[in-house]
Amino acid sequence: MMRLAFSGGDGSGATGLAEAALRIADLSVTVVAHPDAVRRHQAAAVLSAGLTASSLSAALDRYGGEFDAVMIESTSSGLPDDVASAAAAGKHILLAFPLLDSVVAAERIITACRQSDVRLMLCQTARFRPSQIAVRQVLESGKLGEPALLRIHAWDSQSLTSQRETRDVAAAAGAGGTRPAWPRLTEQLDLAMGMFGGWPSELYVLGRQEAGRSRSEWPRHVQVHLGFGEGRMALISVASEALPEGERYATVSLIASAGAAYADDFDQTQLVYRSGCARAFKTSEGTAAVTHELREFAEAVRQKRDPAVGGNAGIHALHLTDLAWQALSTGQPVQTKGLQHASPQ
Amino acid sequence: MHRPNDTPKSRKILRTAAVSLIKHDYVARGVESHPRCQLVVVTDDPHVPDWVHQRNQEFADSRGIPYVRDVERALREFQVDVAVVSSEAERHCDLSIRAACMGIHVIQDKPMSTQLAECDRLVEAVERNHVKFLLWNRNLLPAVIHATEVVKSGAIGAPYAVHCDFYFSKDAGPPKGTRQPGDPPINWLEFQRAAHADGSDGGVGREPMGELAIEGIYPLACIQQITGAEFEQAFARTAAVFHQANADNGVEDLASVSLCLSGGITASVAIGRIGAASHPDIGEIRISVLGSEGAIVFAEARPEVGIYYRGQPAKEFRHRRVAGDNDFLLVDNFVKAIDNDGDTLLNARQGRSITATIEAALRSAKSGRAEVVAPPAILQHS
Repeated sequence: MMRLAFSGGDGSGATGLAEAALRIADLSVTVVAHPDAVRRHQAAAVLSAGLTASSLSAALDRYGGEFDAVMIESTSSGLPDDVASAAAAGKHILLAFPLLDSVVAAERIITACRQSDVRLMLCQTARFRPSQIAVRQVLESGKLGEPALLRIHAWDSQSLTSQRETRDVAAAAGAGGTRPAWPRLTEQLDLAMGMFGGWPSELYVLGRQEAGRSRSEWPRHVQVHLGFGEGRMALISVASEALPEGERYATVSLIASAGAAYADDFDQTQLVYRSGCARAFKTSEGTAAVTHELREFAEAVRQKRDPAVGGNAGIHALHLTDLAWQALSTGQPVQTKGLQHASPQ
Repeated sequence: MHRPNDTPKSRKILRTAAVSLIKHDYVARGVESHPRCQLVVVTDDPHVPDWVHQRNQEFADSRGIPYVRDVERALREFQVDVAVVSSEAERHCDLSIRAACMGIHVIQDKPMSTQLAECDRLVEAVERNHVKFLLWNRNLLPAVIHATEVVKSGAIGAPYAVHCDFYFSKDAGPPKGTRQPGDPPINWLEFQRAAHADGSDGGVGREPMGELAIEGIYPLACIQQITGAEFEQAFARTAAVFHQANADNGVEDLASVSLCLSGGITASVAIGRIGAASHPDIGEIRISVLGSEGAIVFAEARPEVGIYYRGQPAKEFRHRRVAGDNDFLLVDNFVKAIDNDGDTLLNARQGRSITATIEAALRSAKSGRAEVVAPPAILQHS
């Protein structure tokens, strides 16, 4: 049984975590830590956690024997210190992807976990979507042959974008970031590297230049073109504030040397007819992605192995986001020769 | 059916010549689907190889019309109004120019040419002789028409980003990696000639062409139609992944292209001949458009119907396109351009722009840089 503490966040993650935890026999949430008493108790109720504390350090002091791992939703600049404290106490760590959008902070976190020999996993939930898992499994089975061309679309509505951007831009600034954060883009870059199992050799980025939008911000849409070794390639379209309120569109297709996978350009939609036009409604994947993600974390801890999305994956994705920003700013392809990194986890 | 606005001119039957029919004959068949066009002769140059004469002769025989081994004589003596050119790609423009210079309107198969300079010559000839030119395309398939209407209606605001997946899931000879030591490389022309049997000889000619050159017109013409913008710059990656013929001849069967268009619009194309194993039907052809007020995602294949039955041949498509009227509508657009002295859906200048964009993309794939789309050699004739 893995006993998990849940720390920080705005409370929105607690519901998904609770739903997922219900589905994993050997995982329970025992402690909730949050400075706001109302949110703390609400989260504890949702998660059926019996213990609460006003901070992670307080939870470690008082209830350190009651949990084995901690999921930290915070993106404050104090996160590396929190992680160091938890890791020193022998707690395995589950963090938001992509590690504060700061390579320096990310490296501190990774070092702290390595020195304490605890597992560090990043919540890159996009990798655990059922469709992604299916594509990766069949790719890893060899049935598709070698990956050749990956195409990703990831478009968001304004509210989904602004929530994330506000949070992460602030975090990046606090941790010394040199470019604006865009976690949704970084996630897609990680997906591409995960699919090809390595670092791209070049990237080229186009963005929409908009009146009234600062050049120090990401455009609302970027088109990232990645080249990998042996002629392999990826096209990634990421858009913010592009869809009607509350909508999100995400599809992937992978053309490989012996087959292909398509997941799914119509985004698993169904038709509904009411007054007016026909509407397309998305068929929810429920909490499957979060459940897969938590199960992987629990198994990695139990088996004392590296989890599927470790700290290095975050570092690689951050480096690639930096290069994408550079490519966008210069309007020229960026060659990554000499910037080679180890294969992402 | 009589229409009140019909004039004697608009009901004139257009005497049509099939000028070299060595490729699959879908353009000629498409043209003859329109009641205003009447195929009256098949023609080609006398010096072409015997196999070319043979294919021309077979088509002429199938229609009960003559085959004349002299293009100019056939066009003149049969009082031809429209030339339908479907030769090897490297002869496309030359044949079209010769027809245009005789005052004959032209419908030409894709690709426009293997040489951009030939496209410039064609633009000049078409405009100087005031004839109509239509480059064959897929822009009047039902889904493309509908999507264009949605975008033009303003339903998603101003389009600013377009992507097109354009995959044909056909095989093209032996898979890459199957050539044995000591075997000669596959001869492109011989390979394309053999591919005629199943209609997959779109790249027929002496000059090897990759998938971008052969099929790139389709997604680019679609993007052009939806955005109404001009291609300005291209960045591309290409690879020969699937087919030995492509690998042996140094041409791609898979490519990805990033495009800058006028007005700050961006676009991308993923294109490939990805092998029959990669899709149960003809292939995945999808277009997505982001606009200032929304987005649209559509499948070119729709409307379609799924058909499955015991003993179904493995290569038979499970989903069949229905209600496609592209051939008739293209020719109808062409005929109306003649009647009304209007423009065609994809004229010589637009076709040249697409060829220049493909040429820039292929340059980019070699240079690793973003490459500018070469502007036309001549300005628009008044």
